Amino acid sequence: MSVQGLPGTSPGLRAAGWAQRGRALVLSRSNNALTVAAAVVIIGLPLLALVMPYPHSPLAPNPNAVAVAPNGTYWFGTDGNGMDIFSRTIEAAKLDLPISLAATALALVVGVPLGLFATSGRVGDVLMRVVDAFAALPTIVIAVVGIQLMGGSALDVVFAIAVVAAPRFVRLSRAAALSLRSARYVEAAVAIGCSPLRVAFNHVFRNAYGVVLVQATLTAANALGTIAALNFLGVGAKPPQPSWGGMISEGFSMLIRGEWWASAYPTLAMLLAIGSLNILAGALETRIERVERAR
Amino acid sequence: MSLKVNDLVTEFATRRGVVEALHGISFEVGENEVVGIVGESGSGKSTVVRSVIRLLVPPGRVASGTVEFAGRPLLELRESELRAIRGKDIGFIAQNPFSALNPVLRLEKQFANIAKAHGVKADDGARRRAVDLLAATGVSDPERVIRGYAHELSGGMAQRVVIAMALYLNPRLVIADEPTTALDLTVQRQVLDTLRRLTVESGRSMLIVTHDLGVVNAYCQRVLVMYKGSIVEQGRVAEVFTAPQHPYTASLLSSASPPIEPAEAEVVPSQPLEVATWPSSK
Amino acid sequence: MAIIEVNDLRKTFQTPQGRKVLAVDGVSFSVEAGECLGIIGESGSGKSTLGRLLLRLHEADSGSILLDGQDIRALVPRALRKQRRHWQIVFQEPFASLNPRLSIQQIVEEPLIVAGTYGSRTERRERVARTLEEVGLSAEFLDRRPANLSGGQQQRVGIARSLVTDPSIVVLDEPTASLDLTIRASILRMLGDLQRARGLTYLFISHDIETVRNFCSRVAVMHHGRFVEVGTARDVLEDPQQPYTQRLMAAAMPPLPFAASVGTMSTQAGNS
Repeated sequence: MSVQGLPGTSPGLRAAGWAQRGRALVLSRSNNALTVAAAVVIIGLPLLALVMPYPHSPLAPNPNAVAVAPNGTYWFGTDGNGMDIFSRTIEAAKLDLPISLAATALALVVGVPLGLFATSGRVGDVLMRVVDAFAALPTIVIAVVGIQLMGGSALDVVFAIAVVAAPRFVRLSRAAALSLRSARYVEAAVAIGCSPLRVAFNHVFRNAYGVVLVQATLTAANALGTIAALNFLGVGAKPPQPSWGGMISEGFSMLIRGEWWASAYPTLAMLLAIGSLNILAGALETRIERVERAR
Repeated sequence: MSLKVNDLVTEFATRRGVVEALHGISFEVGENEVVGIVGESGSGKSTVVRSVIRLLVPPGRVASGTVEFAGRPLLELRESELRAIRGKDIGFIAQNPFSALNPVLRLEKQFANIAKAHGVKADDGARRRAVDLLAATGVSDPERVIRGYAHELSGGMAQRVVIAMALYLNPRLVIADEPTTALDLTVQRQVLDTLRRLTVESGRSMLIVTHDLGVVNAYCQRVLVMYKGSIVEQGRVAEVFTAPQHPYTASLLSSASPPIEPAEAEVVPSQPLEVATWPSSK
Repeated sequence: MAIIEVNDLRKTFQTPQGRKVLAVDGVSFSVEAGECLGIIGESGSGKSTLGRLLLRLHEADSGSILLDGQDIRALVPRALRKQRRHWQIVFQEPFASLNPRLSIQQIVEEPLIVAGTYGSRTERRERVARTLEEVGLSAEFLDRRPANLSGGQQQRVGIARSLVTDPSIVVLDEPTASLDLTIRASILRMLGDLQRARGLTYLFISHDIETVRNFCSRVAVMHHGRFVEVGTARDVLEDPQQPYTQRLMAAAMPPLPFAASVGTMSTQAGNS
C-alpha cells in the first residue's frame, strides 16, 4: 500500500481508464492542508451560496441600514443601498465561480481538438493566424465588445470568456502535437493502423494532458479576474444581482468617505478564489506527475 | 608506470541508501600502452574513468582506493592541482564531441582557452600547433575549420577536433570514453586510426572505454572486462579473447559473433535472458 | 512469388535550409516469402527511410510497392489503416517507441483494438498474453509501464506489438542497435525462432555487418540512397565486388582475433 504515493506502489491505479485516473488525482493520499483548503473554497463557496440561509437577503435593500459599518448584525456591513455585504459576497460566488469554470471548460473542449489537429495544412495555418490575432488583442476589449453584441446574459459572459481563453489551449495542445508528432511511439501508433483521432488522443494528448489541465486551472483563475473586471465596468451581471466586480465598483464611491468594507470584502473573496485556483494548479501539477509515473 | 589504480571503490547515494558502483577496481596502464575497458551498459566502465579523473557527478563519490598518475596521488590532490593535470597531462575524449565543444566560440578561441588555462601563451606558435594537430587528425582545410564553429562540423570531423584538443598540450595519457560510438563504421575506423597514430606511435598511453569488442581487438594491447562494477578478467587481448577464463567474458564473446547460421540454426527455446546467462563453454 | 516487390522507389526530402536531399534514389528489389533481406548502410544512406517508405509511414515520391500482391501506394488512408496489421515494423529505440503512459497490456493490445477483428476483450487479452509469452515475457509484465522495464524487455514488448496481429511482413529497423551485446544475441535468436515458427518475411535494416552476417540470408548494401550491391550474405560480405562495399568491409572490426577478413589496421581503410 502506498503511503506517500511512491512510484509503483498504487494497486488502485492498475487499470488505466480516465475515470480511475481522475479518481486517483482527486483522492491521492498526499493532500496537504493548503490544497484541501483551496479545494474547499472553490467547491464550498458556490455550494454555500446554494444552501446557506442568509442572515439577510442579498437582494433586498434595507433603507434603514445604509452604509452600516461591520457589526454583530451586518457582519461585513452594508452597502450604499442598504444591502448586506456578507450575503452578497457569498451570493456572488454562486455566479462568478461557475461562469469562470464553465468558460474554461468550453475553451478547453473547443481549443484542445483544434490545436491537436491544426498542426499542418492550410486550415491549420489559417487557424493559427486567427489565434495569433486574438492573442494580440487585449482580452478585456474583446470580451466587452462580445458581451455587448450578444446581449449580456450569464451565458454570453461564458461564451465571451471562452473565446478569449481558447487560443491558449489551441497553442498549448498544438505545441504538444507538434513536438510529439515525430515521437517514435506516435510513429509506432500510425504503423499499427491507429486513426488520426486515436493518435491525437490516445498518444499525443495522453502525454500532454497534464500541462493542459494545469493551464486550465490557471485559466479559470484568470477568468475570475476578467469577470470581475467586466462587472466592474458594468458589463455582465445586472444589479441588483451581486458579483464581486460589481460590488467592488459600487463600493468605490464609498471608499472616498472612508467606508472601506463595501469594496474590501468582495475583493478579499475574489483574491481568495483566485489564490485557491492557483494553489490547486500547483497541486495538480505535482500530482499528475505522480499518478502518471505510479505504474 | 603511467596510471595505477588500486582497489577503487565508488558509491552512489540514492534514496534507498548507498549503492556501491565499483567494488574495488585495480589496474594499470603502462607507458606507451593502449588498454581497453570493455563492458555492457551498467557495468561501471564509464564510472571507472570518471572516478579516475575525478569527474564524478554527485551523488557519486569515491569511497576508497588510490589512483596514482606519474607518481602523484590523483584522489588526494587539491582541485586546482588536479585541473592543472587534466587537459595537460591527461587528455580526455568523450563520446559526444558536440557536448565537449562550445557552440558559440570559434574553435581557435577554444584552443587558445585550453592553452591559457594551463599557463601556455596562446601565441602564433600555439595556434600553428593547433592547425597542425587538426591536419594530423585528418581534418581537411584546418585553417578554415579552426576559424569556424562546432555546428559546421560533421560528427566525425567534430570528434577529430576534440581529439586534437585532447592532444593539444601533449598529454602523456589519453582517456577516451566511447570515442567513436556515435560515428559511422568507416569514419570510426579513420578516427581510431588517427587516435592510435597520435598516441601510441608518439609514445603516449591510452585508456579506451568501449562496448565494442571489435575496437578492443583492433586497437588495444590489454583489456579489462567489467561486469557489474568489478573487473572479472584482464590480460592481453589476444589471450583473453581466444581463451577467456571467466564465463562472462565467454558469453560476451559468443554474443558478439553468435555461432548461428540462419539456415541451419538449431531451434533455441526463447526464454528471457536479460542478464547474461552463463553458457557452459562451447 | 515474391511477397515484397519494390520498383524504382524514390524519395526526396527538403532540409530546413531548403536544400533537396535524395534519400532514396531509384531502389528496386523483391523479397521472397519467409526470407530475410538485410539492408546494410551507414547513417544517411537512406536505409531507414526505405523501411518507412515500404510501409508508407513516409510517402514515396514515385515508384511502386507491392506487398502481398497489393499496391500499397494506391490504398486510400482508411484501407491502408485496415491493412497495416499485415505489415509491421520494429523500431530501433525500444523505449522511445513505446507510449510511456500506457501499460504493456495496453500497448500490445492496441493493434488488435484498432484492427477491430480480434474478438472480444477476453479473447484479445488472451492473445496479448500468448504473444508476450512468445517473446519471453510472463504475465507479470502486463500491468507494468515501459519505464520499469529493461531495454531488452522493452524491445520484446515492441516485437510483441508488431507480431500480435500475425503479420506476414516485418520491417526490423536496427532492432538491436541500442541493446547490449548479450541481450542483442538473445533478441536476435528469438527473432530468428519467430521467423521460422511463423514463416515471417523480414526486412532487416542495420549498420552492423556482424549482425547482418549472422541473421540474413540475402544482403543489400545501401549508399547515398541506392543499392550498390545485392546478393547472398556470403557473396556480398565475404567477396564484395563494389568499391564501397569493399571499403565498408575493410573498416569492419570483427571481435575475434582469428576472424576472417581482418585487415591490418590502417592499411586498408582510407584508400579508394
